[in-house]
Amino acid sequence: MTSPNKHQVQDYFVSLGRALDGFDTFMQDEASATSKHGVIAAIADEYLERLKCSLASWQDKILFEPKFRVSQSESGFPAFENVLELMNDRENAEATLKTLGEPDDLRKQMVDHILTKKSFPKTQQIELARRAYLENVNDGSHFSPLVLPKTIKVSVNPKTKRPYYVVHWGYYDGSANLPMIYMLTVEDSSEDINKLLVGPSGKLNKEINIKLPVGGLLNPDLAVQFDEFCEKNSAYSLMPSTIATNLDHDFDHLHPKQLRRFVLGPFYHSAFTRHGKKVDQILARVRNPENAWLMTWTMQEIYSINEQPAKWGLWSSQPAREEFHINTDDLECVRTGVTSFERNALVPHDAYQAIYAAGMDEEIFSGYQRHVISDGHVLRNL
Amino acid sequence: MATLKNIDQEIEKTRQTVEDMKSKLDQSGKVLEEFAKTETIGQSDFDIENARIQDILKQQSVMEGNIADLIIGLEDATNVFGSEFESMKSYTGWEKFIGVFSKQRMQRMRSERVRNMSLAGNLQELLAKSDKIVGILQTQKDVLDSRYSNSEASLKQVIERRKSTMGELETAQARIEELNPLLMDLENQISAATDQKQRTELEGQRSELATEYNQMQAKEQELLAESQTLERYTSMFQTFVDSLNNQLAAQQTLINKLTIDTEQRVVLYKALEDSLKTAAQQDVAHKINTLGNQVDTAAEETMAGIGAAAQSHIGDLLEMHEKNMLSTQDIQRRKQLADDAFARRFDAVMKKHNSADYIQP
Repeated sequence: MTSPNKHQVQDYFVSLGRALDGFDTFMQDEASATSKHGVIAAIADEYLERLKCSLASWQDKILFEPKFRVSQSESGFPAFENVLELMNDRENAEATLKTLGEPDDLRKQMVDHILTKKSFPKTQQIELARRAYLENVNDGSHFSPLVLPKTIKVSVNPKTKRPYYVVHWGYYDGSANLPMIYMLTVEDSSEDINKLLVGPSGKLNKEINIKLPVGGLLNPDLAVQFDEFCEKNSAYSLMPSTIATNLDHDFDHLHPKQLRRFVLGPFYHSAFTRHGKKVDQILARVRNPENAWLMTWTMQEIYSINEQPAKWGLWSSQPAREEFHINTDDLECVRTGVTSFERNALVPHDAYQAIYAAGMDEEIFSGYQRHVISDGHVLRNL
Repeated sequence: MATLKNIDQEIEKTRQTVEDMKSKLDQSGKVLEEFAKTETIGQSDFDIENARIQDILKQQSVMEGNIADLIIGLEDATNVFGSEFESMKSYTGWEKFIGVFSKQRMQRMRSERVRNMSLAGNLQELLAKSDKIVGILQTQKDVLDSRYSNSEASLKQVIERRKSTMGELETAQARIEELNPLLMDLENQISAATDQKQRTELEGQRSELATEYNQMQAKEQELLAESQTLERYTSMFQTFVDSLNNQLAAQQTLINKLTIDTEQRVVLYKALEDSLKTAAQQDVAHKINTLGNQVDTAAEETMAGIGAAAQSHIGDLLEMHEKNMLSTQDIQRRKQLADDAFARRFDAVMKKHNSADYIQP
């Protein structure tokens, strides 16, 4: 989508920003409910910060380069090209910054320009804006096409006596234009790492001091390979079961036990997206355009129920393989290759009223858990 | 990415030409501004300037051709991705060899290959390249823009000057017309005069008028020359301004084509990568399905369920596809427009390219 005017673009950023804030609030509320959710919320928080940082940068950029594309028909999130461009700008930021004038000089030039030429110093203004943008891009952490994996927890499974890690990474899908967060619990049966991490009592070796979070997979032998795996196997079109199986097959010594995927979006906004006539029409009735949106997200989860032990024979040998549980009672689970999934929708109060008044409540939200946001408070599970 | 490296050199070369061009353009623009202001205009200045402008015009078209070449070159280089995709569809020699012993293993090897393919780096590279070219074009366009508005203002000034010169010329000519009969009249009066004193007085008057007449004639000549020079300037600078305008349009065409190309490529390649990877996923699903059908009736029932789910999935997919079509349609439409404009303006380059008579990537 090309931006018809600046005002509308600002609306978009404000709405998306609010939606993300709402999502954040929701996650923090969840966190206080159970400790299990605390970890998830902390992880999600990191990626939300990144997304917000990216949004802020795009907002800066639009001041001097009036071109911003949003995937209108599917996700409602900024198009993948923007994400790539941001990365590109980030890579060249230092070099470009050197070619731009110093801010104080530029300000002086602006004053001179106003006094001598009696006109608006547009070029200097643009240069200054570009400078501010690049400085922010250079410093901030953004949501890149792949946010590299991080290990945030290490422990030992008392049953198998293997160390396990909790790893997470982010991926901005290029064809669906959706940001995604992956969280993986994986056991490591590499001998070296076992000797190092597992103490004689079968618990985590207390003498080893690991400063968490660690960038990449904790096992240094597999870290690079694991990063590559994440880059190539995180597309939205791949089912969690495919990803988990691939991981199991690619790494003989890694045993994925649980994989979670948060798909943020789609994001609906009456002025920008064209999902379906019904939703758009109803959202168009909301008076305040900043509240005319609806954000959904999906949590998908797959876990292993059994592990076939490794066979090492003379003629044939096979490393240990996982058996993943796919809930065949639920066709939707079968279709998406997951053990369980959860769909959530977050709506501002105004918009929910409009939808409810139109009697479209059930139709739009069937299968979704509804959460209504009003003044920074989230009413959960309506 | 060897091919894209080649492009890098081309980009550097083009950047150089653009820089050269910029300084030349600046010179001409400045000269024009001076002309618009200064009083005296020399013939030699004119000739030098005229030569320079001709030179600029010639080089400008060469440069535009270069850039257009570059854009087409980028297109060709990125077609390498296409061949990469092609190779994903078929089996490699080694895989075929393995296939002699085990079909399954052959297929497995291919899906492994597809799975481990990633375009992320290539896309990033592609974007960086086109970003660079757009950067060059944009700076060039900005220069042209400011030059254009300055030059246009100067041109207006010159035209105004010529107008006032013409006005002066007309008054001078009118005065000459007036003086002519007056002088004749005086001559007659002198020849008719008998009184010495009156005659001297008339002689004095005549000499005054004659001086004025001569002055006026000299002025007429001068103004005539000025007006002619100004006329030549006007036409010369008119050409300059026109060409600036033309260049601006050309730059815009190039920028449009490149941005839309890049946008389309990112979308297209991502979609292709996705479809290849999911095809591998589907393969596995099909295998499970056939396997399932072989097992037993209980499993078959489940599979029927899966079938139903698959049906609805296909429905979803179709819907998604439709929406996707919507967005790609929009891109397609804009691309068509940009391509048409490009073809119109850079016909020569296209022809050269089609006959493969250009820098090979």
